[in-house]
Amino acid sequence: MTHTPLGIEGSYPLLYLIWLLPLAGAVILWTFGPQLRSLGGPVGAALVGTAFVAALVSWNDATQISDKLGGAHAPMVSWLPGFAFGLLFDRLALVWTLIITGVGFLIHVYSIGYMSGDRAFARFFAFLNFFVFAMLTLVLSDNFVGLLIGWGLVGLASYFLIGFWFERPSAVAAARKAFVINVLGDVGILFAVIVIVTKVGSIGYGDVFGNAAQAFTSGELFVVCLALFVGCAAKSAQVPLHTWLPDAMEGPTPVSALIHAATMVTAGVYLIARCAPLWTASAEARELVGVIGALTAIAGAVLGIAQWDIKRILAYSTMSQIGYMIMAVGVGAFSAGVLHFLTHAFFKAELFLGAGIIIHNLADEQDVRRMGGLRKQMPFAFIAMLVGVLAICGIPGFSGYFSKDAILYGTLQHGHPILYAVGVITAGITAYYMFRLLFVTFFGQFRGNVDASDLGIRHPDSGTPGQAARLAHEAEEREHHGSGHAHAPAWIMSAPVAVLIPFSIGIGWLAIGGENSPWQTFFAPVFPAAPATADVAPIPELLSGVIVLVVVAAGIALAYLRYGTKAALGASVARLRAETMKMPPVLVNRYYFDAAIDALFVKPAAAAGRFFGSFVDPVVIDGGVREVAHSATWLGHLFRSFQTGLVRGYALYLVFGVACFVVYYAVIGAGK
Amino acid sequence: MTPYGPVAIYLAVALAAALLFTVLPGLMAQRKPNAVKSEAYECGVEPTSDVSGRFPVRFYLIAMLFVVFDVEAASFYPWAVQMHQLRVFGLLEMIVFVIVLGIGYAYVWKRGGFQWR
Amino acid sequence: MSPPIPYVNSADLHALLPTTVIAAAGLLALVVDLFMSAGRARRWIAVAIAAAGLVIAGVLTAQQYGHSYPAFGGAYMQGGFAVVLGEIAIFATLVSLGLGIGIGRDDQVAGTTAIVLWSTCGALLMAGAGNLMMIFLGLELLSLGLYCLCAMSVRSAARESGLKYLLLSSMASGFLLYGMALLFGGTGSVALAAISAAPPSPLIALGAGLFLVGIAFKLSLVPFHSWTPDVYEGAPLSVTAYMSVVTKAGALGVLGRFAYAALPPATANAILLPVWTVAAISMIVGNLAALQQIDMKRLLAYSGIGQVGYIVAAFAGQTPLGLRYAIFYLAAYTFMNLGAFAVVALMLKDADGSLGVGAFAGLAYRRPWLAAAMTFFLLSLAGLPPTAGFTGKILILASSVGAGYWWLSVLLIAGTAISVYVYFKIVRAMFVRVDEAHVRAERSTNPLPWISIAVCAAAVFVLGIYPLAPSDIIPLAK
Repeated sequence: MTHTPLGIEGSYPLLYLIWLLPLAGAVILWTFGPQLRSLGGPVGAALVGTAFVAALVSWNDATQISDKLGGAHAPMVSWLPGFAFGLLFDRLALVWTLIITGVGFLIHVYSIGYMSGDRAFARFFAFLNFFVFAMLTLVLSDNFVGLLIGWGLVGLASYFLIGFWFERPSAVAAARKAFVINVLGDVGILFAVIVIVTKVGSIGYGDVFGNAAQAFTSGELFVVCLALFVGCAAKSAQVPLHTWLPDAMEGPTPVSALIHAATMVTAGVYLIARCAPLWTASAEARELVGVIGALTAIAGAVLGIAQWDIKRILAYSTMSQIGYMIMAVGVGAFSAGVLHFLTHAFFKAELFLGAGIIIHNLADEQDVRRMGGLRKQMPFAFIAMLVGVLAICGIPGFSGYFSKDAILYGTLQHGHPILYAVGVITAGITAYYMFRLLFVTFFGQFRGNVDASDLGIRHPDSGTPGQAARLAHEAEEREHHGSGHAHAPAWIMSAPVAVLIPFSIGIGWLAIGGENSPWQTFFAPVFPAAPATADVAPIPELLSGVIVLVVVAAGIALAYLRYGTKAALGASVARLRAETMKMPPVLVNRYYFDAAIDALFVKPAAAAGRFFGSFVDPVVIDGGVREVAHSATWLGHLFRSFQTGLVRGYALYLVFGVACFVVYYAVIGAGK
Repeated sequence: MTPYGPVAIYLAVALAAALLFTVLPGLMAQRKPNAVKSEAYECGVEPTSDVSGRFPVRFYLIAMLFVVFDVEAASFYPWAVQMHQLRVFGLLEMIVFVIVLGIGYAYVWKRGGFQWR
Repeated sequence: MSPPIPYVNSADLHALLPTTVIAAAGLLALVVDLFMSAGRARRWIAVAIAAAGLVIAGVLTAQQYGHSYPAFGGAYMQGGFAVVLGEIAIFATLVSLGLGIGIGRDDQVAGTTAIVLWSTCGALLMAGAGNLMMIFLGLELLSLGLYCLCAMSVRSAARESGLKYLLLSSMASGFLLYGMALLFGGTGSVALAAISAAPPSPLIALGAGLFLVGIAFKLSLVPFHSWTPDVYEGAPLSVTAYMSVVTKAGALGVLGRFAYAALPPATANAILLPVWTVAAISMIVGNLAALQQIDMKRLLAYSGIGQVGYIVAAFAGQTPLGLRYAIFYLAAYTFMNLGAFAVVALMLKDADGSLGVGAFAGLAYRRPWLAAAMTFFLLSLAGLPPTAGFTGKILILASSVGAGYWWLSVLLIAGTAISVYVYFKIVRAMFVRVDEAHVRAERSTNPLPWISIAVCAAAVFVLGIYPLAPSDIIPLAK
């Protein structure tokens, strides 16, 4: 193995500050939470904000380039040979760090309003700060083990935050599900790390990427990529490991915005982008990841049609959009995938925070059928959501347009016309269900006072599994949230959303200019050049854009015809009722994924569990263990019975040992 | 093996003799025990207790101290014989030895080791 | 005219300087004590003098590091791995004296302290011994002191302990001496180096066998271990802690030099095979027997038998690194074992008392720091990461597997598995909530063991995460 340097080595004190400030915040808030009381939120937000400023100040460190190496590399400790730990702050890490701390800061501020009055106010911010620290560990590590540690820690933070309202059984179940699936992903990455260490003998990115060509056969490389991708799929909710993400919406809305939309779920995108050299070298891995990404994109979008819970609609859209990103980085269009991460972080955070304002004001109502006409009641939330919807649909001028266009065109450039087609269709479906959300929520009449059964909502067994439990807890929730807040959002909640609006529109403009855009120039030194197979796309980029636009417009038109016309809005109650009744069961049951997992894994596991519980464990294992324990005990007794306490006995054993020795040595001695 | 052959023969003879004289009487002797025969033989006096009776531990202390100082004093003799060859080094060595011995003597004295209490 | 006596040069004396300092500290403690009036201050003065002497000796020993030469015509091997063993013995002596601020009553402490120091001198001589006479001298100096120390308590168990140790140890010394006589007969020299030079003969084989019996007794390898539990249980806690490390350090030095420097390469494996066999038996039997124990000192005695089995197993195949790994594991064992002893000392009002395993019930709730420390030491004894015990065991496994001794490796793992059960019984007890009325909860007023705990825990942790560097500094056997 030859050592390959990674970034420009030096000591970067600010880097440690960025990394450790959130950890300090978590420790402080956890330890002094009860004393800090309502000050806990501002403290947590301020620390993350400081980390953001520090990251901005370190911009030049991250973007410095000399001698083909880019970014700042701060080695920390080296353990066994090949096990060196340090921080790497290059352009890729910079983008992620800025989003994690920047959007993270806004969401911290928002949470001060959203979580005010919660009993565990400071604890919430401690967890949130801990999450930011974990996520920074993930993206700033310069090696695979650090990445794995961060990977595990974000899963843990997510577990804490999904289950933050642990008095709800559904929240606890969702947290557990998310954790279990995420651990599955961790195992995948652990396996990859083991293979890497065995083959390369180092965990550093530089060494691994520099020696990948010599160390791995193409088959081994595919196995490594596959194992890494299992981790990505679990963390980024890719088919078939996506089922935890919608359930994770049980967590507080700011958590959904930060962790389950903007940052953590995009860790898979980061990992593939970080391991771009591996993916570039393995055509099979690109193929697989591209296909899974496209599949996730369309599967999520189709499921988005069938949801009534506002956060679940957004959750499926998140899944679908991450599918886009994974598809992009999978096929090799790394900068396009990262751009979509960037734009998505803004507009999806904005959508969630807008939805959060609605939910907050409607006393935790999340069912869009019981909303309606909120445009007049909450104009600010409407504008925020409108911008978000236009961005996610890819309306020209909004940020989503540029990134989605880059991804779709990227698939063509890398020679995947089928993935392109799937992506375009997904864009149409996305437009349809997002505008459906917009129309049903903000137009027509307010339906909050309409009887639930008139809307087709059957209690308690309707809708999502969590709903019944949530309703049962609603009264209690209201109690501790206080009742005086159900009006205009406080400035503390609207200000972060207001900050996000210009970004949701404008961040995509970085990509204007095609090959010479600021974005492409920024990432040109980071990602390997497209493989030689990348032919010129069959159609020009402009035509591709037009095709996408037409499909999107069709989706919007369909949504308008079904939900937005005067007639549709007037009869919205009957309409929604009819639609609820007619919803295709395959969608209501989410492709029977949970049922399939239930039938394939949970039920057999339960049966196996019963079998083990009633037979194997008590009879075979316990019996075996008991036998072993018995014999150990028996042997112990035996040895103890030798220990009579009488010196003559002890002397006898001594002589016995000596006799054995003497016989042995006499024999080998005589052999000489 | 030759130089040790006689040793082995000697060992074998010793072992055989010891075995012979312990085993033979048991096999050959006639046994007709009675009360008087079983008594321990002590001239004149009836035995009153077990042979291994108790006596004050002070005897041991004094005996031990005697042995310690006696044996250590005995190591003066070889030094005295070799004094001229050992020269200054031997003298210094002996001075250290005497100092150590003296400290031990002082310690025993101060702690009352020589008093018969 | 007798031949001229070779002059003893200053380099020879310099080699023995640490030993001399320790011996002189013992004398000083005795003399100073003569002028002290009765009271607790006597304890502190005696221990302070001893500590000062030990620290100076420790520094002097450290200075010998890297300067290796035979002193006194090869009788004492200066430098080499004896430096590491010497430091281990010195550290263990310091910790043991601190467990109860000396041993025995106030008026006995000066005497016992002096005996402890002289015993340590014996261990240092053993660790560096280059010929059979020096080995015997060191061994007897160490043992003679221990006979007294074991009995240094008003409890009758202590006197029983001292007497048993005296009888059995004398017997073992007899075998050792007989073995030495045969070796001398076979080679015509007392030097260890002469053994490898001599042609193989039955005398050497038998002599080596009996010699190894004596060493195995000191290392308390099964079946020469039977004295260990009774003596450890009966002796005062400080003495038990002392014996569990210092005798091992001395005997390991002898065994190491004998195995690596004295045996002819052609027959070495055959001669040492019984040693590895008894090491393997010790790993299994020691840990199995520990399962049944309810007295803490007895449990640690049996677990120590198993631990020494691991250490000796490192020699298997006489790989060049084996001795280094054995000494590394001995260092690890020193820290984790003395740490556990310090915890026990803190749980006793009277350092001379005994502690049942039951006293650990619910300790985590009564004294969380103590329970945390004990858990850490037990983790290390059980050989789990991130501790020195783990690294040491990995190194030994690597060594024995590398030498082709698969059976030894398998037994080592089996012994470890049993030992996990032993140690976790205590860990589990500490974390179970119990009614405080049912637990005999005592506290020591002596703060010194806390220092030992801190040092030992730090050392266990550091040796556990920096595995290569510390074992690299241990010099290889010549």
